[in-house]
Amino acid sequence: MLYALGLLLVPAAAVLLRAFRTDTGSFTLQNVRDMGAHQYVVAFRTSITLSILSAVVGVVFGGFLAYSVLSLQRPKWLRGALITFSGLGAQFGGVPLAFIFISTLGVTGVVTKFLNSAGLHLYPGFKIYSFTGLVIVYAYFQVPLMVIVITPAIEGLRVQWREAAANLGAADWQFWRYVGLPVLAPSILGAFVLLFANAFSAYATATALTSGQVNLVPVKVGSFLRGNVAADNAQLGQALATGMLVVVVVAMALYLWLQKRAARWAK
Amino acid sequence: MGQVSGDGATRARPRPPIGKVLWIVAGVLFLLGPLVATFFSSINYNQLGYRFTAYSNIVSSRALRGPLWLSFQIAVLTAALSFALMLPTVFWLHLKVPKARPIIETISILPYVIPPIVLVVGISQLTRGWPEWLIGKPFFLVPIYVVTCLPFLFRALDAGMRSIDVMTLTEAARGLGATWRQVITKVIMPNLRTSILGGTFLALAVVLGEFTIASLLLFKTFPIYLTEVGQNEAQGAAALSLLSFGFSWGFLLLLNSVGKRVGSGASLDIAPRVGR
Amino acid sequence: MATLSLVDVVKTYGVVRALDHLNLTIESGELVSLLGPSGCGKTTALRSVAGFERPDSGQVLLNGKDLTPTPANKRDMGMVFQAYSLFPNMTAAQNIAFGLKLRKRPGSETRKRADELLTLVGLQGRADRYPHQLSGGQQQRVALARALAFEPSVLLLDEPLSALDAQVRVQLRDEIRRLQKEVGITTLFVTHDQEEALSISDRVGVMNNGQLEQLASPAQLYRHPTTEFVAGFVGTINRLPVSVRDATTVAYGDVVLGCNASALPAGAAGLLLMRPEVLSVRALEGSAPHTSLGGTVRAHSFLGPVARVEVITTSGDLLICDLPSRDADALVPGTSVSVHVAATDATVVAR
Repeated sequence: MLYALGLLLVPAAAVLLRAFRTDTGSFTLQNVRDMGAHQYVVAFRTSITLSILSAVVGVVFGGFLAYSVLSLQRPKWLRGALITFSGLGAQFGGVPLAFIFISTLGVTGVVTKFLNSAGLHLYPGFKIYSFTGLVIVYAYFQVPLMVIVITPAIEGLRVQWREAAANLGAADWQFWRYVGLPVLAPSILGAFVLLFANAFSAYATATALTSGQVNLVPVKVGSFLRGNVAADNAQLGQALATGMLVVVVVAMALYLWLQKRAARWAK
Repeated sequence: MGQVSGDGATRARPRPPIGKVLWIVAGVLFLLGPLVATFFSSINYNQLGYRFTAYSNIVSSRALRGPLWLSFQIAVLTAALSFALMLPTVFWLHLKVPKARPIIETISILPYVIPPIVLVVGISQLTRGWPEWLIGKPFFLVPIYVVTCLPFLFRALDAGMRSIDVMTLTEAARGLGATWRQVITKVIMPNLRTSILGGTFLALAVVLGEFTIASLLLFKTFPIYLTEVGQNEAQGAAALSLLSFGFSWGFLLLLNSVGKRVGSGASLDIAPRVGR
Repeated sequence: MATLSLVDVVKTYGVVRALDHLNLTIESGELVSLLGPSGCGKTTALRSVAGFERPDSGQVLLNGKDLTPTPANKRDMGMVFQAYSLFPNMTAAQNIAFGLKLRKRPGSETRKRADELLTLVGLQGRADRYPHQLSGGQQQRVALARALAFEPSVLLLDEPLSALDAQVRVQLRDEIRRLQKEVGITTLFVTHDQEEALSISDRVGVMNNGQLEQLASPAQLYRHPTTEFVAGFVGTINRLPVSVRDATTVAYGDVVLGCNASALPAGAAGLLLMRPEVLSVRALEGSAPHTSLGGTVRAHSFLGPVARVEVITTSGDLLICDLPSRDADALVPGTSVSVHVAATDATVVAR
């Protein structure tokens, strides 16, 4: 554990310290100030927006999907198939995922061509390597991740609560309004933060898909690492990485705080 | 929304769950559609018709074997090092300091939260100026992957130990005169076979799919190589994408079946996040 | 006040017939228990009343009005489940108030009523506890209060005590009965525990294979079971194969025993049912009179106030006899005995 902690925290600390140093090693806030430059502010804004959007898509779509499958008892294999596939789908990513969507919704993608032949022209209004495209592609791992994370919580909803609510006079929506959703809230919240962090830290997929056309923080950090940007300011890359850490930490803290409020009734 | 239970909890007259079916159909289309579409592009040679050339090219490519072997070695080393470090820790957690659980659980989840790219930035920063023989070899990835795998392996081991009642086993073994080392190697480890096997598959899945770290540190592991080979033609790229998932999937499915067979140990409750 | 009836209710799951033309009427203010082994249909019956199951045919009537098309949330019945039915995100008071809140009662009235009910179930001061902060028994008290809060016309109890410790179970069951009488609510209680059913019910219905075998007061059910199943399910019973001689006597071998046999025709094969405590046993000198059963003591166990003596009759059947322990001291294994039973204490059923 100590080893893990070391391997994790030492680099993180290194990032943090370097972010406030000049090339020669003296303390400076210049890098942080540089981060305020327009393109980096935009990068953070785009990254955060993308992460929130794709997390919302994942939570909503994945939530309803998981709920629908879990509550239908008829084809028994459906449940197992969804869980297994989600376990696999949640780990999709990188260049292969980008290819798969280019093959599907790219300019010459199968679906694009099919829609063209039906008289529906996706391009040039839509581009798979755009912001919207990223939301769709990210959904491909966000939805399964949501399914995995939320399944235990949905299974934890007891039939008795439903029946007790109905017995006391609650209509369906009243059950959800007063019991179902409040009970699920902490889990949904947790899932949202997880999905947010998941999208926020995604690097390979974004790079492969957009080749830098969408201005995202991880992509920027990556280009610093690869030395694509003027090398005289490697510390700016460190500062950006620090910024990412800060965003993730803030998200986690927010999550813990909200969790405490949403679950004050739990053990 | 409809009902939690399909048995018509609140209504006298059952109605067909149209909403649910629509969600499921949409889900299946979204999750499977792209795979099917990609499969079509991988075998579609326009004027030449449909053929599996791309696949046979890849399978027969000798150049792929080196990186595959390398990734395999890295994975096994990662698993070995992980278990060497974590078995005693988890054992000690169960036996002596159950109170430390929240702390340890928090630590074990950290690698999942910290973006891999930040990790890479830190590592490349930290190791600047280190000797080439140390940081230039692909095996330099092993300690990093150990950290990446930590959340999953921790959960696998933790679940495994929970299912075998470590306390009783240990006390029994100690009572019979076993040393601590014997307790771990002769009693605990054989009982954790499933978890260990599952963890190894997990490591394989991670290593065979991990992208960000390997590519940024400029190592040619299997997943990196896959994306470089055959990118020049569309069919090849499509075929490779499917194959590269196939590899990770194969191991994850193995892991899943191992977990199911014994009903304990590793599972897919948190999917490893690789290649993103 | 409400009268609840099930009329010819049938419910099947695949090939299993859970309710087989069930008929049952619960009078206003009455507590009726349905007792039976698991799978006998008692829970299905209760769930059909609550509206969670839709019968294939037949009706559920409340004061003569057919409830079959009414969904569960409009049936105006309070129900207590086996366990874990409290909403975990609400305090005890909020749980109790939920039914009133849905009925749009003013907040002040709701709060007052919740307090009232908390006191009624002996949980004053626990209003703000969440379910996980309450013991199993306390949780079921809250569930009971919640079911009564909106003054339903019928109370349904689905094995509410089965998940509790033995001691709490006895305490809470007496309390349920006290509350039920106090409120005067028509109640259907489902249980597999005969002691529970016998101790708190006005009438007990024993169910088997989706049918009601017997519906009677606890004493009647115990003393005069009308079927072998009921006799075997409720308490310990001795069974002797007999043939009916006439309306008042049966023959066991060459022994003639008096009993009420008017339900069966002369010559019919029957089973003579006798509770262990109605048998009197005497050590035998000479031969047994032909109106009592001769046999030999096989085992003798001292149980405090009573002794249980096992007698093997001359025809080889087992009789279990509970005697005041003082009277049984001499009946050591091997003793020849005669066993006597009064005509009013024995019942004959068809074999």
